[in-house]
Amino acid sequence: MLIEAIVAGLAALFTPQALLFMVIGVIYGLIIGILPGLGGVVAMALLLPFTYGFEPAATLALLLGAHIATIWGDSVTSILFSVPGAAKGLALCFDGYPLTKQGQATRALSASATGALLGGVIGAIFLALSIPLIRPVILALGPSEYLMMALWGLTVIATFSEGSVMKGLASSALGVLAAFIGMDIVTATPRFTFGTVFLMDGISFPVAMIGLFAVAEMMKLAIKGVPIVDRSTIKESSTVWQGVKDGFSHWWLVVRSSLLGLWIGVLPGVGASVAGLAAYAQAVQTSKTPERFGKGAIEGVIAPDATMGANEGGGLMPTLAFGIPGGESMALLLVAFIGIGVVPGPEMLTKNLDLVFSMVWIIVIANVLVTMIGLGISPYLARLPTLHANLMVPIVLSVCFVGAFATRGHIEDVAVAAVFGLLGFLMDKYHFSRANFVIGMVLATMIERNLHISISLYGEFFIFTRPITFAMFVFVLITTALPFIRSYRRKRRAETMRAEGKAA
Amino acid sequence: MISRRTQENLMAVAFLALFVAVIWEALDFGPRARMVPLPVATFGIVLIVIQLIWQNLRSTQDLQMGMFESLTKRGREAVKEEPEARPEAAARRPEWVREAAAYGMVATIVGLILLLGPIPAVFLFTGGFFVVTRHYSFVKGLVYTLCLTAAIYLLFVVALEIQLYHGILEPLVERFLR
Repeated sequence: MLIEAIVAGLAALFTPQALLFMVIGVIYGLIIGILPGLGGVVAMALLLPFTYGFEPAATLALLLGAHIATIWGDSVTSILFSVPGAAKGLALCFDGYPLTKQGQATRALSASATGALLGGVIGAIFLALSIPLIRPVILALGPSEYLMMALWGLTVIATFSEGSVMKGLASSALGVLAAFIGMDIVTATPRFTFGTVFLMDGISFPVAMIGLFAVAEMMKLAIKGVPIVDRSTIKESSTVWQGVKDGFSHWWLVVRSSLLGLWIGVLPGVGASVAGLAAYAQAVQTSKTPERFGKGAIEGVIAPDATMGANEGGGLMPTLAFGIPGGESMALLLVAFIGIGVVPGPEMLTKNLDLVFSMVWIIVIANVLVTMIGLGISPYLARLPTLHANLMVPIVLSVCFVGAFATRGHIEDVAVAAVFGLLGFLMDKYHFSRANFVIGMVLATMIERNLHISISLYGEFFIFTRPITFAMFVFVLITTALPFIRSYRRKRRAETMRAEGKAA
Repeated sequence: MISRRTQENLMAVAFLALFVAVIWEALDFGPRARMVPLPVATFGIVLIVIQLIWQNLRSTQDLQMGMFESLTKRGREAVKEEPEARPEAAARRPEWVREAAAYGMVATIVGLILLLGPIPAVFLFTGGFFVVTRHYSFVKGLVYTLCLTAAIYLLFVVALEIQLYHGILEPLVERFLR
């Protein structure tokens, strides 16, 4: 039955309409993904009105194809400008941007595309094989476990940030608080709105990202007055095939990262942002030369992209099996399902298995298309950072502020983007991590919602009454304390060796 | 000229003030509404106070716990600032002047968008930027400005069908054109 569903799922896609829609979706998604403020969610939302009245496979090909393409589009801006198009692209800034500055942008982009392709394919294969296993796992986890996962995501990024851990954690705390601006969904209390109607809706996350990264980076560029990469001193020394070879030569890293992305994607609401950072951390930890990371290690690009490629397939599972969207883009997909007459639920994994596999095949084929296009345009995209600051700054700032306005159609969002731009500039100047701030914003709602639900369901001491939650809580404490413990032991060892040296 | 240490302290104090302000506001919320913001802001205050004490009384290297050393057990390397390659013209201007210009640049484009709407603001800001920087000749700058404005209009207004904001001065502009 599984094999029949796999074949039927693929056959449904081999219609001219479905294939054409997929190509259109991919090209459209790539363009939207590169623009700041617009991403997978916006791309799918704008396509929804055009999907009614077509066959289900074509509709899904258009929507999912666009969504998959925006993932690589996000990667492009992270690598070339250190401006993550979405929170999940944060990890790519750590090593992708240094590679660009070293004249290896083409290699980074092509490695990114190859990693995403391999991750997407591996994720799709393992997703297909693990469908029977996933359901009991998802059912075993409750709100308290999701709360612990969100806390873990928050603390691990803070302890993994460069520089002062105090500043890193403070940035995370500030990001969490920024997410609480607006109407509290649990108690319907307006928080930090100062009586304004505009702030009732809260701070738009894409607008905050535009300000924190794009506007702040353009301010830095305007101050420096030179291109990101000065071709008179640093030539583009890499090729597309270098990046492709890198992707295949690090195949074991790709497999590990893909499985990590798949399993994190299966958990509803945890998000690709945590997956990208977790993949980066495991790449550093398992590397024989970890000192290269942060300075242009190609593994630092491949791991997050492989994870993000697999993450989308994982996100389909709770969406299809329970009608619980794995993220915002999956929520839009649910709307599309209703439009084409498909009801998500346990029946998706039994009676409508061929449709599920159609989507798995779409993810695979869309990834192949994105990679082919990405490899073709990488050398041209790599030239973008060589544009002089006096050309790049007005163009990017203009697109950013118009993009900020376009996210919700509120003119106040332009001011918000400017405020966050100033904040991002100051945070960068004084080494308060913007990445931590963004992760705090992303995870804040998940933390608060699951905390309230956990207390309502299990009481105030739920951490101690639920074994899995308690184990995860201990794990969070250990991962938070580990850098401090290691640093303390290292200092003691150094002092001991110094004392022994003096005695000798 | 304010020293770097003083600047760092001021930034930390600003963060501290922000967290205190959050607690002040959160006290007006109900118990469930402040269940998460209050402890988070309190935690933020503790962190900033520790940071302030540490950066003024002890070596800030003690707080540098980069992910690489925490994972690899390697010795700590000094955090190095990137040497900035500055063109001669920019190097003549003090950094605070260049920073002020960057703030002014952001304020200008935001002000133009609020007054005139996105598309006219893009045209004026981009054209004005090229004129001020004199990076391109007038004709070349005008061509780039027109191309960028047209591209943004086609993408956002035509393709994505975004309803544009027309600016606070729209009634005046309409009256003038009539």
